[in-house]
Amino acid sequence: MSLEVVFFMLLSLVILVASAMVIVFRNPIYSAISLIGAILGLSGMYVLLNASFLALIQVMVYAGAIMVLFLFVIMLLNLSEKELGGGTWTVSRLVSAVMVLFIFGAVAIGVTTIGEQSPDGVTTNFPGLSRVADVPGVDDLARMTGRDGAEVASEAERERIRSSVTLWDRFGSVEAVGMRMFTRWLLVFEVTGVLLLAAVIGAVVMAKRRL
Amino acid sequence: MPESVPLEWYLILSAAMFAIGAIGVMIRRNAIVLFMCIELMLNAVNLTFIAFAKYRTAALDTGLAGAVPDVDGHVMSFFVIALAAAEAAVGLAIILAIFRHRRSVNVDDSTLMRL
Repeated sequence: MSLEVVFFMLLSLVILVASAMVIVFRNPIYSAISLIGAILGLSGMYVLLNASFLALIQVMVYAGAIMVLFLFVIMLLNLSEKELGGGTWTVSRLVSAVMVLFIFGAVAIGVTTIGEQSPDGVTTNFPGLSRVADVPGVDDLARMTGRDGAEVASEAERERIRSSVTLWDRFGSVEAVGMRMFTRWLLVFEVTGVLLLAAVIGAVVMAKRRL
Repeated sequence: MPESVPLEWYLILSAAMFAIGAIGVMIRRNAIVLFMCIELMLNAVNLTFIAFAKYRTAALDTGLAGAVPDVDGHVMSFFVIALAAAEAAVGLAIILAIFRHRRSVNVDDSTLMRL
């Protein structure tokens, strides 16, 4: 079992337990702190997925800003034991929770069992995505360039290592994400700025005692 | 046990997180906890975006120079986080306003628009 699998198991355990605790605790303070745990676990998962920029943003914006806002509001409201309200299980709530579980089961079965076998025995619906693409062999390169096999071999190996290193160095970095965000998705980025401005104005208007 | 984590595991983890968030929305009546469950579901979707981004880039890794990483999933996750921040700010302001009027954050008490 490789280190990647071990870390995946540990982090998913943290995430699932913390997520479950969010909806189990009656006191919203405990829920919020469990949610911070789930968010930090997710941040570790992003590191596992080579998304270093998103891992940073996750900790700074989610754990640092959004959750502080939640805790601030919870403490501002200062709910009494009576106002917290008990979790009474009505039939409709029970049925809808079971329905959600059914949907989860359908998704899990659909993702894992339908589809084709990949070479290492894992069934997949995503044949192109579950493994690294075929690398052109030395023979292919020698034939394409018409040069000596050994010479091509060392050159191809160097080239492969070089391109692979730069590819995974750049993937998920601030540079790569920023380049994409400020070229292809520039308009969406600007619209997000307008959305945040509207949210700030909306929050101020909502929180005012009278207009 | 595979050597590296397959894409499906990330998708199942994400679906489980989303299901926990959805169950929370179904069974909890405290408006603040409902918002936390929505954050949970948004995070689950972000995990899917980022997992797909990595496995797409792995599929693009042909070993030749000029391979460009596909980080569109990361950009989308960034926008989802910005959206979650905006949603939390407005939503919590609404909860505060409702609490001032009704002294309650129980969503079952706010029935003004019920038919």
